[in-house]
Order: sequence, then C-alpha cells, then structure tokens
Amino acid sequence: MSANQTPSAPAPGNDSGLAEVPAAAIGTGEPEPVAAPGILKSIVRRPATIAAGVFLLVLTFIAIFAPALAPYDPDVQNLLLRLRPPNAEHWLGTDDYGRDVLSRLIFGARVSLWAALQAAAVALVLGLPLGMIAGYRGGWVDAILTRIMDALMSAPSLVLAITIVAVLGAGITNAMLAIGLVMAPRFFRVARAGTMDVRHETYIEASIALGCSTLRIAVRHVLPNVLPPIILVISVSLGTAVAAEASLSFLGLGVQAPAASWGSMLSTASSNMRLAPYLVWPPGVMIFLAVLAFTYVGDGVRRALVRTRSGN
Amino acid sequence: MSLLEVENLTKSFSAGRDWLGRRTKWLNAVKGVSFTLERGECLAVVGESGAGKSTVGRMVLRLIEPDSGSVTFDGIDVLATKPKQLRALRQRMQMIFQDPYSSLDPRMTIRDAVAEPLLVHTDKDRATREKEAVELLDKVGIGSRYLERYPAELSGGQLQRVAIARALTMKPSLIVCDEPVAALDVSVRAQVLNLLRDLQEELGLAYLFVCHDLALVEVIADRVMVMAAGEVVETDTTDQIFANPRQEYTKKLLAAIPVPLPRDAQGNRLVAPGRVG
Amino acid sequence: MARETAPAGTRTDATGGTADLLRVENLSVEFPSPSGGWQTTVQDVSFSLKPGGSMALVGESGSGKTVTSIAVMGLTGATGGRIASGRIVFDGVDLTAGTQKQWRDLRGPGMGMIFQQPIRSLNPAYTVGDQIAESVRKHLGMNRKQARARAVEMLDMVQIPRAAQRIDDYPHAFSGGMCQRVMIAMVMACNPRLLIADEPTTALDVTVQERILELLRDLQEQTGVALLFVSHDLAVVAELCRDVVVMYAGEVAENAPSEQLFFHPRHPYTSGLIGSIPKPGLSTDRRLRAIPGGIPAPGAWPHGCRFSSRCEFAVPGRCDVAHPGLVRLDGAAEHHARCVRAAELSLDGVTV
Repeated sequence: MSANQTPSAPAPGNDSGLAEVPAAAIGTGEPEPVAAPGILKSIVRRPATIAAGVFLLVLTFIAIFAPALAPYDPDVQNLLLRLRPPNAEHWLGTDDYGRDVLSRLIFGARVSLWAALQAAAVALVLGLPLGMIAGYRGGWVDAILTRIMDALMSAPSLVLAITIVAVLGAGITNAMLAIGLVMAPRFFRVARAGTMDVRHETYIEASIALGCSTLRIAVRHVLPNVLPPIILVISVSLGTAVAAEASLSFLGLGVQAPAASWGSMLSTASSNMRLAPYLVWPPGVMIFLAVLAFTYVGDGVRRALVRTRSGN
Repeated sequence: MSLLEVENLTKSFSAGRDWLGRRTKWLNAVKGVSFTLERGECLAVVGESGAGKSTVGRMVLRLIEPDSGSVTFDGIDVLATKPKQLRALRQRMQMIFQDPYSSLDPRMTIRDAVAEPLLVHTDKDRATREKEAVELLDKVGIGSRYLERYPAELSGGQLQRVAIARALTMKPSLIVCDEPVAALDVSVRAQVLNLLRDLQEELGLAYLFVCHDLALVEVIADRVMVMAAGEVVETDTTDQIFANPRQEYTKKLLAAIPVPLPRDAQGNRLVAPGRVG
Repeated sequence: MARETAPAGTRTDATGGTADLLRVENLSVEFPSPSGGWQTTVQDVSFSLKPGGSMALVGESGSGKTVTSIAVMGLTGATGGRIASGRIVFDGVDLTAGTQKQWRDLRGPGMGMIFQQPIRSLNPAYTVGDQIAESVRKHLGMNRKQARARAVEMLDMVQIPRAAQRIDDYPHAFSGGMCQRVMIAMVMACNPRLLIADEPTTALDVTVQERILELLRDLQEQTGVALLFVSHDLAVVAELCRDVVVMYAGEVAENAPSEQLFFHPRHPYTSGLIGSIPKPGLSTDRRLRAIPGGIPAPGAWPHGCRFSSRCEFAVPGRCDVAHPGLVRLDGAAEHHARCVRAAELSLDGVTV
C-alpha cells in the first residue's frame, strides 16, 4: 500500500484499496441494499406473465406469416359452402359467404394487431412529448395542456372515436387515429408525472449549470426515468386498442368488407346467431385472450419495475 | 477588472396564492446584495439557513433569475445573454452542489457523467472525451477504478470528488460551491476541502463558497461575506472577520462554533495541558 | 452463555458503587448480505453508562454507531438485522434475553430516541400537542386534560416560547431547531431514564445547534436523564459528553473519559478525527489534517488492524498481521484503545 502517504496530502479517495461504504446504506443503520433482481429475472418468476408473453409472440408470428399459415384465401367466397359447422376441411367452419373462418381468423390477427400498434403509436407520439413538456415547463404551459388532456379523458372514448370516424370517414386507419387520440391522455399523465418526479432533482439543475440544452436534458436525463412506466402503458393500451378496434369494426366503422378483422367477424357472427352459433366463438375467444394477455404482460412489467425500484 | 461583479441583486419568492391563483405574500429572499470576486480568489458567503446565500450563488449562474440587479462575469452582462450564449458561458462558470447523492444522474456511469460537458460543448470524439475524463478523475483522486460504476455504488466523499471533476471538465475560471462538504463526514470533509484548495492553487480558480459553517471558512476563504435575512451584514478579509468582527451578528456566529474542548463536572471548559490560555 | 436475570430496580452492584443504567456487553449485530447469509456490521462492542451519565458514540458513516444505538433501542429487527451475540442490560435486566414486549414497554418510560431529521419524526397530520399527549396517555396513563397540561409543561421545559398557544400548531409551523425541541419534549414527557440522540444537531445551523446542546445539558441537570449521544463530530461531543466511545469499522477503537480522549488520544484514528476539526485561529497553513482514504465496508474488513491501511503510524508486519484487541492502558483509568502501538506512540490531541 502507499508508503509515501502523509496525512496532510490530499488523499485519493481510495488509496487503501478498500471499498468506501456508500454512506446511504450504512449511515442510516440499514444494511447494504440487497442487490435488486433484474427486470427480466423478475418477470421470469411470474408464470402468468410468461404464458401471456408467449401467447402474444405466437400471435405476432401468426400475423406476420398469415399468408403461409392460412389454409384458404380468407376473402374467397364459396356460396355452396355457406355456414358450415366445423369439419375436417374447414376446422372452424365457414361464414355466411362460405369463407373459411380459420383463415379469416388468422388474417384478422394481422389486422387487429397492426391496428392496435397504430393506435398505441399515435397515443405515444402525442402523449409522451406533451407530457414531458408539461412536466418540465410547469406553469401555464402545464395548466393548458393538462386541461386539454383532462377534457379528452373525460369524454366517453368510444363515442368520441365514432364522432371522429364520422367526420374523417370510416376505415381502419381513421378509426385507429381516433382510438390513439383518445388514449393519448394516459401517456400524457404518466410522462408528466415521471418528469415532475425528477424535474427538481439536483442532477437536472447540475445539467443546466453545465450548459446542457433543454432537449439533451429531456432525452438523456429525464426520459430514462419516464420510460419504464410508459412501457407499461404501451402494453395496456395495446390491449385496449384491440378491444376498441373490435368494437368499431363490429359497428362497421373500422375495417371495411371484405377484409377480415376480429371485430368484423364478430359482427358477421351476431347476424347469423341463430343459424350458426359456432361463429361467435373464434373471434370472441381471440379478442378476450389478446386483451387479457396484454394486460398480464403489462402487469408483470409493472410488478417487476416496482420490485426493481424498491430494491434500489 | 474583477472576474465577477455583482450589484444590487434582489429576489423575492411568493409564499402563497389567493383564490384566483395570483401570487401573494412576497418573501424577500435576497435584498440588494453587491460584491466583487477577483480571479483566483475565494469569497465565502456565510449565514444561517434562510439567509439567502444559496439563492445568491444560483443567481450568479442564472439558475434563478434575479428580480433586479446586475451580474458581470469577465465583462459580460450575464443577465442579458441569450439562452444559447448563456449555455456557452456556463463552460466558464460552474457549480458544485451540497448533496453529492443527488447531483449526479443515477442512471449515468461515472465516466459518462464526467465526459458529458465535453460532449455538450466540444466536438471531440468519444475516445478523446473518455481519455480526458479519466485524467480529471485522476486529478481529484478517484482514479480509473469506478469508470463503469453508477453513483449509487460510491460513497458521499467519492461522489463529491466526481462532481468536482465534472465541474472542472471545461476549465472554468469560477466555481460556485454550494455547501460542498455539509453532507460529508468530518474526516472526508477535510479531504474534500484540501482538494478544493489544491485545485484552486493549481488552476487559479475563483470560488464563491456558500457555507453555513464559519469554522470551515477560515481554511479556504480569502474574504468572507456574512449574510442574514437576505442582506449583507459585513464583508471583510478572513483574518479580519475572525480577529476583529465588527457586527454583533458575526460575533454571535463565531461564538457558536463548537470548540473541541471537553467540560468538567461543573460544565466549565477544560484547558489543554501544556498550553497557556 | 449463562444468562442471569437480575431483579429490576437493582441500584447497587456487588462492589457497592452505582450500578450501570445501561450495559452493552460484546454486542454483535448482523444484516442480510446481498450475496446471501449474514454480514456482521457491529462486532463485539461493549460499553456502559451510569444513571445521569453522558456518553458519546463517535464514528464516520459505516462505523456502526447508529446500528449500535438502534440495537440498544431494541429496533434491530425492525431495520432488518439481528443481534447475533452479546447482551444489552438496562437497569439490571438483560433485554436480549427477554421478549420483544418487554423491550417495547421500556421504549417511552425507560428509553427514548431523537433523530437527525426532527421534521420527519413528527406526523404532519396532528398538532404537536396531540402527539406529545398521545405518548404520555399511553405510557403514563393520564387522562386527556392531564396529558394536555403535561404537553404544555414539556414544551415550556424545552423553552418553546408561548407554549400554551404553540401546542395547537402543526409540525410544519416550526423551524428545524424548534422541531427538534418538540421531539425532545415528546421523548422527555414520559420521564425516560435514557435519552439516545442520533446526530440531533447535524441538520441545524450552528447557532441553533449551540442552543440545542445547551438545552440537552440543562435537561440532564434537571431530570438526571442519562444521554447516549451518537455523532460524527467530536467538536459537538466535547460540548456535551463525559465519556466517549470511538467506533471504527464496526468495533470500538478507543474508549475513554472525554478529558483523556481529547487531550491524550491513544488511537491514531481518534487523533486523526481531532485533527480534522476546523479550529478558528489555528490553521496557520490553512490546511486541515485529513485522514486519507475511506472506511472499509463490512465484509471488506482487513485481517489485521482495520484502520492500518489509512494509518500514518502503521508498521508493516505488526499492524496488518493480527486483529488487535481492545486493551486497557496503564496510567489512565478506564482508557482502552485497539492499537498495538498504543503504548509507544505519542499522538496529538486537542491543542487550543
């Protein structure tokens, strides 16, 4: 060890070769914090989250490779084979135009997931930056943005979406734009709260004193604190968007015929309820499972984040 | 020309709002504070909590906008600079904060934290930035042992050294030190104070040293400005303040410094053996 | 280890002198370690405090001083740790052998504790009067009216002006120093025999600190309460305490009456701590003596003397080979130091 050390020398923090104790841990009489388990590790410990995650992965796979996986063309009509119950050729039966339900379900996954992604993206792009601006600037900027978002949030979301679609015209993209707008306040709120959390931390003030631009502070120092809860909101919003797309398509405001989505399939099923009650099950079960899976994944991520945070 | 000239700085904060959201009950945090600071000099701003000393430090760097008054740094009117010029100016005037645990981004490694000013202000490449960061960490006695570590893994004294390295990155001529050792243990406090003194001598730094503990001031300051309730009580050389304080308030502060002399059963201070008086 | 349970209220020991109010014997405390298992953070700590006495536990963050004081309060379990061995004897009763309830019943009328952040120890939703009254009603069985009178009396005792009116104020209406007074009033309201103060003035201004120290001194005189003062600042300790225990890396480094410790320290660490106190008018070269390096973490304690790597007097081959014991030094009553060179070194003490 250093032999030439005199007591008055400006002592290098750790000449002794020993770890100085983080005083935060010891000074308060607490033991050193138990190493926080990684987020991934935490998720792995929850079987429900795993199952939901695997289900969503499989669904994505099916959506991407729909043309290769579907046994029939989903839009080809065969009026001779109308409303056949499930059989060896058509595992899930056929609908009122004689189209293969399994193929439509597979292609429908594509439409539903893509639509949900669009909606979540719109909500994220609107809500996250506005939320960070409101949280960072505060004052009247925050007051105005928050009022607008509160107004959006207080409106019944489906009614608002229907109004927007009525103005912009029916179609899946317009519908998802509407859903995205309605979901934006969720992202706004979470981003604003996360930003306000760190806004008055000394290290933000230190970055300003260092001459960092506001954009750099926002992206490099604030965003990392906002992102984890946002991931949770994305996951839950995807679930909501799947359900919302189904609702709008069920009402004929979303995907347009002949394209298949789970919502439009449900609509077909409902008009043939008496003759072909089996038609309602495939899209109904898929919507139910997809929404449930997104919620479970979101919940798992949230629990993992909470545990990792409190571990710190 | 002095490095820093501060004139008649004033700031008040609102303490409440009425039912329309209008600000009421103004609190005068700082009232008409003026001082100058020469190159390489250390001016200590001393006072109790609520005296407005930290507010003065922050207003000099324009981290808080003053209501009125002027701040002239190296001939530049700081309060009149545009945001972009101000960011550039901040290379030359830096700050060290009281709480080392919260003045570094918990999600940034020590290396990145020290190299950040170079990324922001220069177009040096990554390798150069990191090399300079390591040199600075060497200078403050941290070495390259903790480059990839996060702030939570270091002790308070080490973090304050890292914060000092970060403040030195752009070779500033002024550093505002806001209670830089108040959160540290006594023995570590001495290390950090000695480091600040050595760096001042080596680099010709000027310090505006905001501090509530008059005992520490004698070690580091050339001159002392005593503040109370937002106003300057007296300003003088350190020797004069300690030997001949003119104001009652300064005398009171001096008398309150705890002396490490134990007392006997009657409560009288004992006198060290072998010394007179 | 044979555990004897002396009857409560024993005031004299076998030698006829005053019995200790608090005796900590070979206390070791452990906390769960990140890598599993238990990590010792306080090892083999012993000291004793007489009724009405005043003792300081001094050390840096990580020295184990707070862990020790928490153990005396019986709150080790609540902070996630456990007492691995040793005894804490209060008023002749071995608390480590008794039940948690026994310990809990002592907190309040037996021992009380005040902390560094008084505002965080008070509930912002209740008036200070209510909070003081609650503790005396619980512990002294007073009715509402008596408790309120007692609260006023206590606020008066800690020299809060206009006590009868301030009693209905909420904690946020008090300054830091006043909050600490309220905390002291709250703890003292139950007439404890031991007051543990963990860095009670660290967060306060020097002039306020001076007055709080004065208050603690007055309280000791008036009530005869014993004081266990936990601090990292020897200058503050000198104002208040008759005996000092210096802790380093989880164990006692030196232990002596204040006069001995401040004027004739026998452990280089104590001498270093004294040297790093800024003293007005004395720093001729305007430098402080600093102890280099930092305190080793539990689990990284060296095999030899735990201070040797930072010690300017360390001799390779002597100081870093075996863990030195705490030895009683001759020529000085009750002076112990954990240093193999204690007898040969001449160390600087306070020289004002």
